[in-house]
Amino acid sequence: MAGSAEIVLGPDELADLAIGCAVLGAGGGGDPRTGLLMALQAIDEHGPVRLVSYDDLPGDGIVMPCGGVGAPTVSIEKLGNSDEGRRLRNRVEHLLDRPVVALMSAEIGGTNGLLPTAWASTLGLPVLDADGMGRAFPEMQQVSMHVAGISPNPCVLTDERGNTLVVETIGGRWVERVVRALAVELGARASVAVYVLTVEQARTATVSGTVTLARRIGALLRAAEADPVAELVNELAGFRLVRGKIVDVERRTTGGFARGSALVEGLGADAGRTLRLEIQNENLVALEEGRVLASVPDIITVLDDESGTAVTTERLRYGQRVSVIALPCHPIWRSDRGLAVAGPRMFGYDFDYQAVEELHATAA
Amino acid sequence: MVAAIDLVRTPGLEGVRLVAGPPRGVSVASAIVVERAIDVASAPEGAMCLLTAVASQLEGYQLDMCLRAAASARTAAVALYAQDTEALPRSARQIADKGAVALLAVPNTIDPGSFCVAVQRAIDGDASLTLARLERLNEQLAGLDPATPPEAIAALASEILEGHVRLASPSPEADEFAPDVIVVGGRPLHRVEADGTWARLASALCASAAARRIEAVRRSEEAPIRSRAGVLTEILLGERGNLTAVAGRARELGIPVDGWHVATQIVIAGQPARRARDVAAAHALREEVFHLALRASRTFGSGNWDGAQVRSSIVLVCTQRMDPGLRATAETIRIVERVLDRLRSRWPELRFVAGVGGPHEGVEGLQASAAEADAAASAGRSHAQCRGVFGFDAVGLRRMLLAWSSSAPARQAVDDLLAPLDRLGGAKTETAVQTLAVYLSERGSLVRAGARLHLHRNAVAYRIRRIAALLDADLDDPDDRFALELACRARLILGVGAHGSS
Repeated sequence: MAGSAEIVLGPDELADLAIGCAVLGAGGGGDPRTGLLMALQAIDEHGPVRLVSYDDLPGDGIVMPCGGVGAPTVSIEKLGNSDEGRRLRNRVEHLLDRPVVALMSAEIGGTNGLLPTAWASTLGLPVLDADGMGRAFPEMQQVSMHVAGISPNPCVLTDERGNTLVVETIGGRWVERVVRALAVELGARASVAVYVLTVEQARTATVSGTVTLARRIGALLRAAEADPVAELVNELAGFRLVRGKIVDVERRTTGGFARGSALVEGLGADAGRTLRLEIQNENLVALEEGRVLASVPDIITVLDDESGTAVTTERLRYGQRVSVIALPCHPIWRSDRGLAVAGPRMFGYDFDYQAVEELHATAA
Repeated sequence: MVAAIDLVRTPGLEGVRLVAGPPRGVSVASAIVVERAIDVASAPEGAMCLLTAVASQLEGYQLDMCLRAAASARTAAVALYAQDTEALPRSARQIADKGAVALLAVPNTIDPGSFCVAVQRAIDGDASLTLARLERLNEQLAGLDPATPPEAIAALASEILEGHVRLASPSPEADEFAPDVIVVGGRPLHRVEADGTWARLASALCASAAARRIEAVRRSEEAPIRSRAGVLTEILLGERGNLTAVAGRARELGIPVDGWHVATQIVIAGQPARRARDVAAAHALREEVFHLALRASRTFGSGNWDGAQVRSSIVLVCTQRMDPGLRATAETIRIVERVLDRLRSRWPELRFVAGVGGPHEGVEGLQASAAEADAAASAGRSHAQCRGVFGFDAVGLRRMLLAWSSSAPARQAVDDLLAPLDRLGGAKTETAVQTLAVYLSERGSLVRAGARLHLHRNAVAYRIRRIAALLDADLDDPDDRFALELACRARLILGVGAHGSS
């Protein structure tokens, strides 16, 4: 079996990974710092983790997409006991009667981009260089596996106390509804394995290379000197939407989700421009004078203008000097089924998706 | 077309606010109701698009997109139902400003149909809008405070009618029945001027509202004056020793009857005979003179001023707590001279004579000062020019004559002696008594008497012959002459004849 050179995720790699996960989180997914600390502790205790590709694994091997579910703010205090990954793996293997050969981030964006690494270290398993979103999304069915038709069952849920639940639903949004409710009962934060699939299935049902991508983003931002944002945008074929200052932040809770908006007033070359960000856990839409500049499923991220550090939606504050960038999403999200799962209309916006490249080609 | 900013002042659109957008740079050509925000994109150019209440429930980005679409479609304005304009997003305001789209907030009290009708009416600028504005002006005028001055009424009309409404001086030939003239008490005070086709109607509304308010204020001011004047008249005409009750009432009304009083009597002389015979007109004139004189005295003088009408004269009383001293009469004369100037400027065709008494204390002192003022006024009337202010001479013949003539037997003796002249009646009596008094005071000199009376000596001789015949008196007899001269002087000092003629 052909394989790439072995990549090991150690402390340096994890530092880059954390930065990159924050950028790919599109403002959501929670602060990766929590997952970073867990991963660092794990590799300190159990050793570094191998990063593998599909070719490095047996085709019928089981890949276990996993991560945390619930309120990211709760995860800052409710850290877990590091054994969750083991319980998830054990139950999955029991249910499927087959070994799990690798863990995978269900969501590369935010802290969930690092949790599987922490668990993988504990279990001595590798992490697949892929994830289920290529970014962060708020709902569990908003994964590439669902778009690809993979069943969410069995879904295993566990908490720091040792409660372990197996959920089987008819699929679709039911897994989100049921698991979300269970997570609330478990203390608003739990660990989950869902949309378990074979390596062969993963080739077409996952967003490939996102761990490497996140590391690359982190390394670039850590090494950048003059304008890290510009370097990042160039590297990723993205777009800087505006460079300016946050002048208004409005938040409200609607339907259990944190919604809101932020206004960024352009500075320097962007003076006179005002960008409006629509937020629902993640940054979902960027508009200027009523014209859409970028929208979900493309990745819209707010970066600190000096350091390039990603600013999550809950940390947006008046007066921050930021750059708002947009990165193209994985093509799977631009399909009809992908847009039905994670397009603007799915989030309640009454306009159709247009790729960020097209929008900026029009503007040019 | 009409500018968006002007719409917010249109009748029927009360409460509509312009939130953003260029106030004067947007002209509205039509009004439509849209049920979906996106329909704004297909609105006709220059339209005012009102979003229904449901359509108005927009997320922030939706309003941004709506306004952008409106700007692209060259829509003049977007109006939405919004109670809290502060909650409208900043980004939307910026789009409205940049895109030259007026953003209006409409209160829930205006339904879409009424809104469109009002906007269309403003656009068309037809008679119905004019009438609506006048109706609104009428409503506002009806709700004004009674003390609202005419200037404020003109300003209100200017604002509602969006024109120029102002006050001007009435022309000399101003007709008191002209609808645009503010007439109070039959006297034109101001003329209301306005521009525009609705000018005459607006002027009439404003003039009527202003006049009613001025009259109401004066009535409320004059009511207590009338009560006080009535009590004061009772005191002045009351009998000495029988003033306890009326003095008590005076104190209750706040009239300082226990202080030091200086009285002034003002007589209207030289009225045209026609007006003098018209009792109602004479009374109305006296009322006006009384109120103006009292106001003027309070303006020019210090101390407490009250007034009353006694018979056909006006009595003003200045009261102070302490004895004002011997200079009081002279100081009062200066004040009354200014009062008469005010009266003359108002009624240049009339002559006014005033007499000022000396300072006296208490209720009976009030009577005494008034009697002195009466005597002084009478002396003034016998003066050649019969105008001006005359002070009571505290030392002299008049005091003695006043003291003698104030007794009932003396009055009766005077009346008996002059009875034949009194039977002539009215002005003839007054002329006869005055002619006889002057002739006798000039020691029978026809020339000097003629000079004082502005008559030829032959005319004086003719009158004296007739008078002597009526009185059946020998004017060469010194006793007859003295008695007649005393009687004439007493009659002139008292001011009224036996039969009440003035």
